[in-house]
Amino acid sequence: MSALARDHVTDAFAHAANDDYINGGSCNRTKYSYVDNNPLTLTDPTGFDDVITEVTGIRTAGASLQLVFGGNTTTYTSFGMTTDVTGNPNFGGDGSGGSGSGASAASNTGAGSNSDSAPTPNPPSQNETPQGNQNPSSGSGPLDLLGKIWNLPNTVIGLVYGSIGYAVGWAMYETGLQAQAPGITIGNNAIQFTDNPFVAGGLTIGNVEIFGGGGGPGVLGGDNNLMGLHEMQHTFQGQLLGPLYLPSNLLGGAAGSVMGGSWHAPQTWNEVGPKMHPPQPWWW
Amino acid sequence: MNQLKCVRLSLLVLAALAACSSRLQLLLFNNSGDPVNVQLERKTMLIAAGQSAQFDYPGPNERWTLHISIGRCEIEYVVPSSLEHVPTRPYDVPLKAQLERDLSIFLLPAEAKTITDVGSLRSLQVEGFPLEAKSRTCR
Repeated sequence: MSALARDHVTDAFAHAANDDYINGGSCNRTKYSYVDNNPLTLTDPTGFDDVITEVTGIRTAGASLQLVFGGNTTTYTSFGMTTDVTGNPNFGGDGSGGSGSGASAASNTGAGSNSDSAPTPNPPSQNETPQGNQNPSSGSGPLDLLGKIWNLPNTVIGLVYGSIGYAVGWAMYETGLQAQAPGITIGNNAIQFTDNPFVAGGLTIGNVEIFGGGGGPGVLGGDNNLMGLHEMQHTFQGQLLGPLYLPSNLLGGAAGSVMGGSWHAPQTWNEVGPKMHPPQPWWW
Repeated sequence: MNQLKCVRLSLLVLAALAACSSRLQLLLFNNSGDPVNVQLERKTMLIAAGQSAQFDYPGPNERWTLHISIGRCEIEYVVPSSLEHVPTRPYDVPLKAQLERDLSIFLLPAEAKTITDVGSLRSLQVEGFPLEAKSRTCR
């Protein structure tokens, strides 16, 4: 079991006494801890390697295959796309996600376990930033690239939508009509526009995610998932459906509204998978 | 002017087409016996004893911290940044919780509509619930 506790007085994390971090890893990560403090004999050309390499569990979730290593779960979905999902959100968005470092370890144990026991409470990360970006390794496969090309018409619409909001948002921010300055980041398999005045929550058009009205990639949504993770599943849907994505949303939303009384009713098929725990593109 | 209307309408249609997800809401019932002020980003919300109020669940911008004040005391809670083990509920239903007399905050079931006896809700308490005060400052 690997667990982290946060001392709110020192604002630092401390390992529990029974910590058996793989490879004897430690919270006291040093400059070369990513190569077990042996930089002369070990290399990390991608920068994504870590001391945690041992696969400790395999499970399926719908059409996805999940490999559990250390406290991390890597989900292999269809169409050659993979998504690294840590038990806790990776707020860094700097490629360190999925490493099991920092606060992730607290609920990584729960994420990497198939048991139904109550999870360890997870204190917020010391390294949290509002980005809430996951570290998707999508983009590495040719099918993923084809998906993004297939999704390009939607992405163009999303970029136009996001850019208009970005410009208007800045004007509103400069004149004091908006508290937060709009931003643009890359993460969750998308270009992300934040604090967009035309969006109340989060939406995805192509490989573009737009947040506003207090929503953001690192904020929890109504489905208890991080909004960035939820929206990322819609980017994968777009990569499959391409130009059919928006009509699918419209039909699904209409079905949910008519049959379930809400756009987010269970009948809205595009929303079922993203609302699952962990979120995934589709429900099967 | 017509162009602006057209652009606005187009954006709204697009938003509907693309579907929105919304920020998690917290509906807090006050069973502390005293009126409570919840300090939000830009305003303070009063919850009378026995009443409830709904507001945004704190996020990274708030450092996952809920600030309330009762009488002369200011109390901070660190809320969980992951709720994946909390039972799912209809999307539009807020997360429900109840502030008790001992200042702990218990999760309530989605169907709760009023102050609830939390003694029978122990099994529902996951992800760090019931929340205990992280700090308490009294003047």
